[in-house]
Amino acid sequence: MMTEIRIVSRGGQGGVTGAKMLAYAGHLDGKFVQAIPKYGAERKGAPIYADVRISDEHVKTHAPVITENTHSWIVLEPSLVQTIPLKKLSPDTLIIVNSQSFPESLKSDEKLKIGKVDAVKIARECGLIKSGTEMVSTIMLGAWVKATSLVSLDSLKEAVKHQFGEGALTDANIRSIELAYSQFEFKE
Amino acid sequence: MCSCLSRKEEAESLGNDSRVEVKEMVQSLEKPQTKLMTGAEAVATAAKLSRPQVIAAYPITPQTKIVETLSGMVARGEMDTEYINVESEHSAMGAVIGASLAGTRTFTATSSHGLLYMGELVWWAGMTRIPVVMPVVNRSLNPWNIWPDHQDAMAFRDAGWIQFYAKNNQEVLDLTICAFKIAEHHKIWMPVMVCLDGFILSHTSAQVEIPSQAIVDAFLPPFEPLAMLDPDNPFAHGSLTDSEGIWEQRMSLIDGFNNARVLIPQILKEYTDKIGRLGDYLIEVTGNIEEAECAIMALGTLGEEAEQTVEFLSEKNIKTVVFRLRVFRPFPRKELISLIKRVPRLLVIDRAVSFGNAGQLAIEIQAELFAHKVDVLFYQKIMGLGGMDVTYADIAVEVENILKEE
Repeated sequence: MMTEIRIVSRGGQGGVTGAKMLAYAGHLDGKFVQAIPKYGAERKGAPIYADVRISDEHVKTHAPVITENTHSWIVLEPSLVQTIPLKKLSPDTLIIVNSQSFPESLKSDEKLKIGKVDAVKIARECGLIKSGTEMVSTIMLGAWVKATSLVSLDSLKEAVKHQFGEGALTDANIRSIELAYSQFEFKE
Repeated sequence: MCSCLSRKEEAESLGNDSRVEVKEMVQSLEKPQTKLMTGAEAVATAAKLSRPQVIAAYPITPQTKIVETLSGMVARGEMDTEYINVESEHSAMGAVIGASLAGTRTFTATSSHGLLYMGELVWWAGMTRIPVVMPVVNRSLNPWNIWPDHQDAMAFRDAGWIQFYAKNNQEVLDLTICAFKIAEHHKIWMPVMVCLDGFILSHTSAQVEIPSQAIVDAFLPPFEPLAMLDPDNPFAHGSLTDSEGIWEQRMSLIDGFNNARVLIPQILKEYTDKIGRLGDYLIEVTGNIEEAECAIMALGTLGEEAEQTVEFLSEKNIKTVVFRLRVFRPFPRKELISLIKRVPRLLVIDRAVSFGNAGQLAIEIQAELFAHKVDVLFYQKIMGLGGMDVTYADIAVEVENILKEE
């Protein structure tokens, strides 16, 4: 089985780093993984995406994920929901949004699985702010693990340690993952 | 399954015994480790394991993480290497040519416009047979952009360099280590480019099994100069000779490539026997050649993408096979023809163009087909220029179109 995930974010939110951490968590779980950043001459605030593949077998494809095959979309900023080609998604595709409430455009949806977590609130609570921007990517990964159980929570925490080393930043990120794990909710 | 799991399970089965930690440390020196790394980091890791004595590089875009990672390793004292931070790619190649002639193992890395700027000295290294190893992160050329295709390396296919094209991060590491042994073989003695697709490999993280230093040392002995500049025994290398001298040099280069054609599989086999995985082939065949209705030929990651196409199409009961050229210079003519003779249709995919003609791979294969009077239905397609995405499904559409046309 292969799970294909797209992380949609704005430059500076940690989406590309998040993809790497998620792949690393899968690696620790003994899966074959890829983390593919799609970025050019990077600009802070510009919409970007990064893809992750987690598979039981060696991954042969190198292309970005194909929209119809995507298992999950992790959206780090609510206005970016409009960049998702909703009509092309397969039934039961998961969309997790960093938002206080479920975005209007998804409220009436009955085809997809929609989830949310207020990652900005959690980031502020945990002090995860860099250059005035809330760093929400690990928080969103915590929510994704709660929603899917496709990598273990322990491996995700290990991946954070691997990325940031031992110290206050890692501790804050791990706390934020735990908060996201408990606060994540699916749309009814 | 990746080996990290088995190590984890092994550690768990041994419980909390204090010997576990010591055992882990000893193993890490002897056994391969599987790590998650980008293609650029895989190149840097391979270079470190190969112990180059001199690295010269220019650190600004389009340069990649390869030299950034290596400069960190040198700065931390993990490598016994003279690292020269030069002021341009032209100087980078100049510095490694000099260092190589002074009798050292040399390495540099570049990409796209950096390779163009280095151009004159790339030819210098090729024509005068300097055994330097240089990964090229394949990117499109001008106007300035950073997107992947093979236009940069293809612009230097005639420069007297051996050219490998890697399909994934693992092959990037394995081929880079082999490249030193190939470049420095006294019957080859010429520079080697290891080409890896920009972003698609260079910036993408995937698992790579890393051999131990001890096992790489056993495969790759220290640099042994064929000839070196020596103030006590002065001679000139390659400067302003007469026509006979240049002619002799060109003929010797042709001989060198003929030797390389024979010796490369032997060196790849030695690597596979001692270290693992790689295989000794110049062309990788994936799929059932006897049943194939169409063969797909491509370089680099498009080759592995096409492997996925084979699986994808087999679900629709369409039988295909992939011929992935791992080496483009020397061009593996003999192997190619013997494979193409066994299939009814051939689709060649190029990720670069010789403008005014066609894709370079397609042009060269057509020449061989004519020379050997091979009866095959030939199709060509240019895909993925300037970083346009090419999925296995896109390749499948091309195959299906071919089969529909008839």
